[in-house]
Amino acid sequence: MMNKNFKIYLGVGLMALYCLFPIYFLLLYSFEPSEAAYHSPPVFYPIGFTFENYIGVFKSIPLVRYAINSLIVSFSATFLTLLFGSMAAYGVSVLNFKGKELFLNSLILLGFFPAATMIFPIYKMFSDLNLLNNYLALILPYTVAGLPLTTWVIATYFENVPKDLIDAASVDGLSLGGTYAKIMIPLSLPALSTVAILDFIAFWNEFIYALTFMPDSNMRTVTVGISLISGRFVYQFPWGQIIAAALMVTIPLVIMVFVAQEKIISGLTAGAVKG
Amino acid sequence: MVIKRSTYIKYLFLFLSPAIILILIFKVYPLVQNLIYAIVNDDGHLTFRYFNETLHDPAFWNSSWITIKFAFITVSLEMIIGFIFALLLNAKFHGRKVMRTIFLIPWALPTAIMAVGWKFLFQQSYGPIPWLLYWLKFTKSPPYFLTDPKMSFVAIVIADVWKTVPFVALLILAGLQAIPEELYESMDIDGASGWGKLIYLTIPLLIPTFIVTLMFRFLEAFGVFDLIWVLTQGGPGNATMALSPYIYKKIFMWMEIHGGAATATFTALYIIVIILLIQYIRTTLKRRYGTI
Repeated sequence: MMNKNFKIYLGVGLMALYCLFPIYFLLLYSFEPSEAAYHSPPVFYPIGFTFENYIGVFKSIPLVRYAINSLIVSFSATFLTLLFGSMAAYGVSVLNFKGKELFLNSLILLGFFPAATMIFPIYKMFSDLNLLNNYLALILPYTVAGLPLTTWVIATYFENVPKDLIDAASVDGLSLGGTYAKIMIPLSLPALSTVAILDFIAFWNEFIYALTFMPDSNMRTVTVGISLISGRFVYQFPWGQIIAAALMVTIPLVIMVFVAQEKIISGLTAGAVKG
Repeated sequence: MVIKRSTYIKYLFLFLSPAIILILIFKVYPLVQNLIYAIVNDDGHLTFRYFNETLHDPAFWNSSWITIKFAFITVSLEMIIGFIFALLLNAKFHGRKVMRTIFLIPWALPTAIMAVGWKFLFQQSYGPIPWLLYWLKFTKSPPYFLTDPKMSFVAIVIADVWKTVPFVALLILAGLQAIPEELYESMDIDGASGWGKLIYLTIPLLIPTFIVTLMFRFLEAFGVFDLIWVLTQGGPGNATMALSPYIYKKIFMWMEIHGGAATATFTALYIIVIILLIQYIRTTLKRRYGTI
């Protein structure tokens, strides 16, 4: 018995090591003086301690500006995805129209095409409409990207709402719109918050659209902003600062993961296992 | 529920139109427009020149091969390691909740930002990973991950597997937890060994989960962009130039809009073929095993 337990804990320890080892090195170097990153051979344990990277990066790049851009885009897109996704889900599971299978399947199939296969026509469209460097240029495509999973999860949740409840609402004189707003939405808050978290993380992390539709460096999101930092010369690559910035912008995500662990897992598995 | 048909139609239209309009503008239109760019030249004439050029472009075939290789290798590794991790996570131990949170961290990190981190970790002269391999005597000298063509492919595989294994493990874990405990108990009574249970019970019952996970992951890996763009830019040379970065470079750096559109159209075609293939495998398995 001892032996079996030992093996399990050994395995668990290895798994934790697997997940955390790159992060350990990043944390380590983010608190080291900037020369430490060029130490050859590298150090594997702290030799110095400083906040200079965390402070310096705010002078090197407009990190606050990037974070505000990311927040505006991610929040707006999450809101729109939830609104349009729940409306579509209502159409699918309560209004129950002919061809709903086709609708859901096309939604999911279209979601499988890589962004690179459709990015240029969208870029051209935004450029013609003068929408490049406008928050809408990210909010709208993100909303579309979020729709398949969102609609799917909410529709599944709506299906489980007892039909009697919906019928009773209509007997009480609620219109179809009223049933959506006053019955279905309040009832499905757990599902809505789950997909909200998943959508928010996905939008915060998005790269290719943000790289392309926001050419102005002041309009960059954190994900693009940080991955495009470079020193004046290759040899001056400010590693310490880049790593510090990378860790800082992922803190909100890590907090979300800690707080909403159960929800995230249930949302991920609902999205994939039922597919 | 008695509702007039016209009211019903009105509401249906109201509820579905935002989603449908957005999808038409941002999914259907770009795919169709790409096809048009690929077959209509600047003078407005129909031409197969761009398709032809793409089919005779060694760089396109190189990218196709890299993409397929990348998707196969990463997804296979992810499924195998993910399955082992899921079995471990399913065991009873203290700190399961903490472990699950740790598992979500690689998944939640933005790929592009993590790729910056990997770029540092893989640096030959001062990055920890090459030196770790060297000190542990796996290599004779710290390997050049980002400047050697073979090693740079290994680098993108490592980075992708690292990020996605925990996610795959959590999906498989959900499948594992859906297997009724009684089935294991009845096999215990029959005197089955641990391996016997794994091979005759756990794995067959997990086939649906495997297939769905495989499909999602394979299609996602096929579109890989962020990781490569930040970590290697497709280089050195074309060693890690998967299809997405290749299309992107063609259109936005070399300004070959028609050629890029033709490549994008072929990539969309690959996706359709993969979906049909997976659908075919699913129906075949369904006929064989019933419930998938």
